[in-house]
Amino acid sequence: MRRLNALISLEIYALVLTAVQLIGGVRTDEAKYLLNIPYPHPPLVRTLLSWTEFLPFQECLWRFLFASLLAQAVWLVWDLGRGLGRRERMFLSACWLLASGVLLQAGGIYLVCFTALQALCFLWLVARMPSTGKYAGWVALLWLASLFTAYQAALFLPLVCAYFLRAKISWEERIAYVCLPPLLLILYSLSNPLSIASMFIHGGRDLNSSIPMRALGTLRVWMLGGSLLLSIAGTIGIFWSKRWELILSFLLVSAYVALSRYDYYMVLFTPFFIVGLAVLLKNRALPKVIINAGIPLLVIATIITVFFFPPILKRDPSRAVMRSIASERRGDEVLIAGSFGHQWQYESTLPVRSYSPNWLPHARAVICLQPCGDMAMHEGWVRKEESGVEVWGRE
Amino acid sequence: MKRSIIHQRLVFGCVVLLLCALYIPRVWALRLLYLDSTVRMHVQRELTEVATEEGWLVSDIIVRSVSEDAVMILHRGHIRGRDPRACFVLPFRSELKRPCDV
Repeated sequence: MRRLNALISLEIYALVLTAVQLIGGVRTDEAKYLLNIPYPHPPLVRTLLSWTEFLPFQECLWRFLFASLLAQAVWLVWDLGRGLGRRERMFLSACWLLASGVLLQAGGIYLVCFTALQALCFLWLVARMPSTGKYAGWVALLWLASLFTAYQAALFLPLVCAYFLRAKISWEERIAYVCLPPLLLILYSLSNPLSIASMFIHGGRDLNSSIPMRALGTLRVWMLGGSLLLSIAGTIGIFWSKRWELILSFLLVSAYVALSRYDYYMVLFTPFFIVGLAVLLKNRALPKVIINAGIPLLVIATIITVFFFPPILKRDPSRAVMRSIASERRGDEVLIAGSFGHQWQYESTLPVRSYSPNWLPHARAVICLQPCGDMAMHEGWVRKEESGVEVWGRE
Repeated sequence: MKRSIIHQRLVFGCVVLLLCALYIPRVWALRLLYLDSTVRMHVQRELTEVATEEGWLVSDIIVRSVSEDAVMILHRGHIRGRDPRACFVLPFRSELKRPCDV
């Protein structure tokens, strides 16, 4: 009964976080996965997402599923605390649920949320699974699935190596289970040159950033991962553990974030902070007064973090604009002038092209995200405004 | 336990073989893109030109195969609902694109 109550409470928590994320509407990165656009990530999870494209509530469904997965992952965190007292396990679990990394990302349709869950799985496997090798094949499939979810899963190679080195299996199996999945990922990447090209483009982003700027950006994401307090405690615990696979994987994640510095990578840190905190608790390195005051302190730290780095609460105009166009009759394309994100494709039921006067005969509407000065010269078009965006429709 | 381990090895092996069967032919069709820098340069130019002319997003273009004198692309306009698809062959030494089977 207690477990059922906990399950239901976690789902209510996931529902609240979903509702918050729904306010901002679909963002460009989320639209990429919902529409199964083949970059930058491998196809496993984005293909699953696209199978539900026909559902009018596709966005709601996946926000809720992603939020539920992150919330229910607390059962793994609870198990990571095995051997601790009930109070310490509650503290550890509360840290997962209240960390700003989970709070701000749960309900977002980002593959990094899946990757963070996979990281938690690998951390749990290394910490808790017996070394009999009984489940080595399934773990290898999890490793393959992680790599085919998002490239970032490669950062967990040290954890995977540690698991298979301890597992009582032959060396041939070890090599096959560890090496074949990344080789298959390389094969997939070669079959999709756009994903390779996008890696170079994103890798070149902010190349001119100075080292202090990069360090500050990385620090920001690190802090957001654990509401600062959990970030500090978790990082100390990671290095205290002297576990090479944990430290190496954490450093790889940090290096990756230093190169990329998108805020949504914050949730990649959270599983590592939780394991670091568990190490401190198991070694009785935290005074009782901190454990007792820990949850209120974390709540205050999270409130402050969310206050300064709030989720997106301003809705993108794409949905309102596309809905206003849908009622028009003539034309079977939408033209957009200026740079536009994939959320415009997601909200449209018609093909989208970049604006050019050549395509006006086929167009239902022209959306001007940058001024379309020459539209006034074309007969049969009237200017409107929808949600602050200049839109031209047919008379 | 032994049966379970054999079962796991079988499943893993089958998945690996399936992925190889899926991706090796695709990589083979694109091999010139990686082996020949001149072909790579031509492909890049053709993709940029066709994306600009047609108003397409580059992310909606899939490179299907590359030969010494042409590149075959699939354009898939990603929208809610059925994505419109079109296949084209873009010769390197001509401006005319030819349709092909989707």
